Order: sequence, then structure tokens, then C-alpha cells
Amino acid sequence: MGRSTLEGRFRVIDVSPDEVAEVVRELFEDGCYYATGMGVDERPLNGRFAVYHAINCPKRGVYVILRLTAPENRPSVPSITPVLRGAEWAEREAHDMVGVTFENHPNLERLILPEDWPDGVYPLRKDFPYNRKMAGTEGTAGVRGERHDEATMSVPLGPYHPLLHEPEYFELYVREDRIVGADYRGFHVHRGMEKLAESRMTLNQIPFLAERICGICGCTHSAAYCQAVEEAAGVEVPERALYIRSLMLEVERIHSHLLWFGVACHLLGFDSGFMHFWRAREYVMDIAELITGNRKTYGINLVGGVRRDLSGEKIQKTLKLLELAEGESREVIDNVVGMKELIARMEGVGVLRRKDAREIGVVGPVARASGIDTDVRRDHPYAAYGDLDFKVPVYRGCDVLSRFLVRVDETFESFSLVRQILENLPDGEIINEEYSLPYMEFGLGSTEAPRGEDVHMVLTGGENQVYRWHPRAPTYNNLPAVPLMLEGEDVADAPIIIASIDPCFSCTDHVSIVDAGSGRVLWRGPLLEGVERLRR
Amino acid sequence: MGRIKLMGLAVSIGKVTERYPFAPVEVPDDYRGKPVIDPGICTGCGACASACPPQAIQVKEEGEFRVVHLFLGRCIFCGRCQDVCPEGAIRLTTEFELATPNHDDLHQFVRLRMVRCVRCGRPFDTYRHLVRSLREVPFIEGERLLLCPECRAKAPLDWLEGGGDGNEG
Repeated sequence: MGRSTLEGRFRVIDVSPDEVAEVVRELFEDGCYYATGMGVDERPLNGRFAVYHAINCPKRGVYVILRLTAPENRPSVPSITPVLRGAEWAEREAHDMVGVTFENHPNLERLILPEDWPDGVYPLRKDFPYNRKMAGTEGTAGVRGERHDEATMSVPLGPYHPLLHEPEYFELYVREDRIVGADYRGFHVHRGMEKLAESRMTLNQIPFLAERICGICGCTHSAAYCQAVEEAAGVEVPERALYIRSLMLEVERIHSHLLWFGVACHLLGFDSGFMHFWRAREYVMDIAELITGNRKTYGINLVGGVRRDLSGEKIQKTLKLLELAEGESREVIDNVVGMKELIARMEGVGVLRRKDAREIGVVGPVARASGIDTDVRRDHPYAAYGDLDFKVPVYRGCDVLSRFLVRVDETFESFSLVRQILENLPDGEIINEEYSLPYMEFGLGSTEAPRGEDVHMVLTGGENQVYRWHPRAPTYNNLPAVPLMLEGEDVADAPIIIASIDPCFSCTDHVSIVDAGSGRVLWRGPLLEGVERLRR
Repeated sequence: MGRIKLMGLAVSIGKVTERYPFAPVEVPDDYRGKPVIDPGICTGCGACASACPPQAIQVKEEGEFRVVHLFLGRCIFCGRCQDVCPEGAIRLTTEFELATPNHDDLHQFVRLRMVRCVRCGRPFDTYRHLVRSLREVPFIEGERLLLCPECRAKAPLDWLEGGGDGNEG
């Protein structure tokens, strides 16, 4: 039996409403950022509602969980958004889903529930049955888009994502082809996965639901969920299982980044680059199929370990495929980086300043391209990362090019990581199924997904179930930064700017939509199509 | 310069698109394809149904029969059924071409005759599962297995001397 790598990953602190703002401010000044937050209906236990704010302190290698509670008859806590704007969405989500009010929140509008959802009905409260269907009400029109004058046009970019056929809606405010402002409206496909998991699924069924949050980086979600439960229940995971987890997470990162390079080339009008990247990526898909039995949705993680072992023969085959994938990727990337016309389209475009990036709490390659040195694999080692050597690339250009280059460096770090794992794979068991599930124990699991930090919070429910499960995909933290990146740019650059965060809109909505396997999900066409002049 | 080199690369590599569906595509032996239940082995215990994340496998009782119903339209090909099946009766195959104009092709039904409770007469377990259970419990407790769970709970102690608390079988 191995060890738990997750020791001391987080600390839950009960804070009083009076001191929370001060605590948050101090944490932010200490270099921490807002990771995620969830509302919990704890009335069956103590008659109160609770809000858990998870704050990532990379320097100290710990997540600080600030827990606020409010009585049933007055479910209201102070908002921390005025102090730390990264909390804005999480607080709005808790307001929508659990019905907790955040005092002094600057914009406590609906975020997730549709406009015609009836007032005063909160789907994540425990007295709301998971299978209840609501009749829509008349609803209120969306309150957004205030920045108009005679000279400004509103360009809708949606309701489908121009690259990935994912539902989203950007409204660009444009003056003479230059973007002067942008708004985002998402959550069109929120499907209530949390409710489903809490009501109807058992502990070891949820990894498969979690994996379907994303069609590109699903393994990272099932790993984060399993880690959260393992943490809550104190499960020792065998070392070999931890290595296999890391292996699949890195395979996933390589295929995800190669996919993104292809999409980026396509958006920049370089379709043969797109095909070259996806050709190289095919070897990585073969590795996944060989090891897990499928190209995507690896289905490898369970609480306590992994489901499939790796034979010596498979290791040899994997190493051969890896060599092909790395060689081909290197050749294509070197040539693409040498193309001045592509670089010119990315350099200085879509700037996200470091200060804004910090306040919003962006994660992953987006943060690392804005000079923020953060990586969950290094700062909060999980799976086998504590034993492995890798560099965390950081660029300071704050633009699309930096995001591109961060991913280039990361891809080759991942090739090296896969090799290290295969060479040092420890012997032993691959799963520990001897554990018991405590009641109402908190657990947090986080992973560095290809798109950035992925956080899952769990409250165990005993009886082989979870009481509360809150997954947070990296795009949730990165999306609020996109309107800032768009300001002042050409309309023609909007698609590559939006794409530069490698967005997963549906993951943010907690549902799976992306089709990673198909090459025909890409959009091409005049952006101005559908342009509509505001009548005002 | 990169552009020209990549063009040369494309020419030297040639066509990479596979001939599929005009030529077969190979998958590994342990590929997670269509699950198939061996009706000659399945005991109808329902372990697969309780593990199945999307509830693609459901176990129902229809009169004298217990029916294990696998619906591929809901299946996510995770293979948890195969993991938990104590008999090795359900396996994932390498078959992945499941598109069909006939809805019936997506269903597999395994019908297993049930045994009646010796006391109340209600069908309560499949013959096959009962035989399997009888093999695994001591003979004296085995007799108790002929009772349905309700009658077993109510059974007078003299039915089973020294049987202790009931084995659920």
C-alpha cells in the first residue's frame, strides 16, 4: 500500500460574517486567489445554509476553505466580491441554486438559471426533488448591454461557439471594427449534474459522470472527484495507481494541447497546420485506446485507485507511439512557430494584464501567459507529481502568443513526464477498496487540467453517496477575463482571442458537449453575419 | 519558411485518412465496445444493474421470470458491469458499429425462471442464483434459502436450530 499524497491539502476554517472580508483581503495580498465556492443546504443537519469559499494559496501549498453559515430564516451572508472579484460568479451561482443572498454583491443577477425560472425556487436545496419539472414563467429580459451609443454596433457572437459548436453568447460592442466592450452570457446547457449525482448516483458511479463534464479533458475531472472523496474518507491510494493516474492525465494534456494548436491554426487561416497537428495527435489517441480501451472517456479512475493495469507489452507499445507523436509534434510546431504571418496574428493581441489576471483568478496557461507562476501539479502535488521532474513555463507577454507558447512548452514537458512515469512505474496493487465512507466529511480534490486548475469539492453522505458535490472546470475562472481581452481589439481577432483561453463552455456549465473526435466542429464564415444595429 | 517545409512534409507523408468503412479499423483486444450478457451464465443477481452509472442495465420481475434488460442506447461503455459481475457473465466486446435502423438491436433481454418460496409461494429468486447460493452456504442454512426474504425474517426459530441471524444468500 502506498501513501496519500493529499495530506494537508486544505484547511476548513469557520469564519464569522464580520471578519470574512478582512480574511479574504489578507489572503489575496499574500498571493492567494479565488478558486471556487459552493452553497450547501445544511438544514437537515443544523438548520443552516452554508457557503464554502475555496481559496488557493499556491505559495503555501494549501487551499483555505472559508465556511460561512446563515440561519434558515435569514439566508444571507456578506459578499466577498467587492474585495476579490474572482468570487463574483461563484456567489451568483450559490444565490441561484441554493438561495443564499450575498450582501453588497455588485451584480447579484441570475447566472445559471434561465430568465423564465420561477423566483424563490432553488434547485440545489435538499427539499427540491431531482426529477421535478418546472413550468416556465414569463420571465424578465436579460439585463445587459448598457454600453451603446449611436456609433456603436452590437455584434452577437453566438448562441453557438464559432469554434467548437458549443453554446455560448458573446455580445461585442463594436465601433468601426474595433471592439469597445463585450459581455458574456453562458450556462445555456446547465444540466444539473450536481443534483443528479447527489440524488441518484452512488459513490463510484459519479466518476463516470464527472468524466463527461468535458469531452476533451474528462479524466482530470474524474481524478479530481476521486481525490476529493479519498481525501474526505482518508483512503490510501496504492502508488502504482497514482502513477497510472498521472500517466493518463499527461496523455490527456498532450492530446488536448495538440487539438488546441490545430484549432488555433485553423482560426488563423492555416488549415494545413490544423491537419498536421491532428495527424500527430492521432498517435496520442492510440496510446489512450491501448491503455484504457477507448480514445476518450478513459474510465480509468475509481475512488481508491484505477481500474486497469499496464502490462509490459503495453508499456513498450506506448513508448513507440510516444516517440512517433513527439517527433511529429516537434516537427510541426517548429515550422509553425517559424511562420511570421501566424506569429503576427497572435503577438500583442488579446492582452490580459497580470493585475487583472490575479484579481479574476485565472488559471492554467492563461495565468502562466500573464506572468503568474502557478501550477497545481507543483503547488499542490497529487497523483505521482511529487516524484516527477517538470518545468512550469511562464511567459510575460500577456497575449495570445504567450498562451500559445506556454502550451508549446507544456506539451513537451508532458512527453517527458509520460516517459518518466513509464520508466519508474512502481509495482503493486492498483486499487484499494477497503475503506468506509464517513458521514458529512469535507474533501477537496484539485488537478491541473490542460486548461488550468480543476477543483472538486465533496461532502460525503455516508450510505455510499455524496451529500454535496461541486465541480468547477477551469474555464469558469478564465471566461470572465475574455471581455477584458477583447476590449480594444479588431472584430476579426475575436475568434482567436476567445479561443486563446482554450474555452470549454459546456464544462463551465457542468455538462459534456464537446466532440473531441470530430474534425468538423470548426466554424468558418463572415463574423458580421447576423449583425444587428441597436435600435436606441 | 515554415509553411514551405510543412507543404513538403504533407507531400512526403501522403494520405493518412483511413479507408474505413470500406476497410476495417483495428482496435485493441481489451477495447471497451458493445457489452454482451451470456444468458447461459447470468444468474440475475443484479450486481451490474446497481453498478451501472447510466442505468443502462435494469433488472425487473415479470411473473415467473426475472428479466435482465440491457439497453445499449443508454450504455456509456465504461465496463463497470464487467468489473462487478461475480459470474463473468457480461463482457465488453470489440464491436463498436452499433448504428442500426432497428431499435430492437439495441436491447438484450435475459429471462431467468424464478423459484417460489416454499412457504408463501411467491417467486423470489432465480433458480440459478439460488443454486449458486446453496453451494456457498452450509447445508443447514441452505434450507432457509428456500424462503423468500420476508418469510425468512418471520420464520420460527425451530425452522433452523442454531442458525443465528439470517444469511441473506
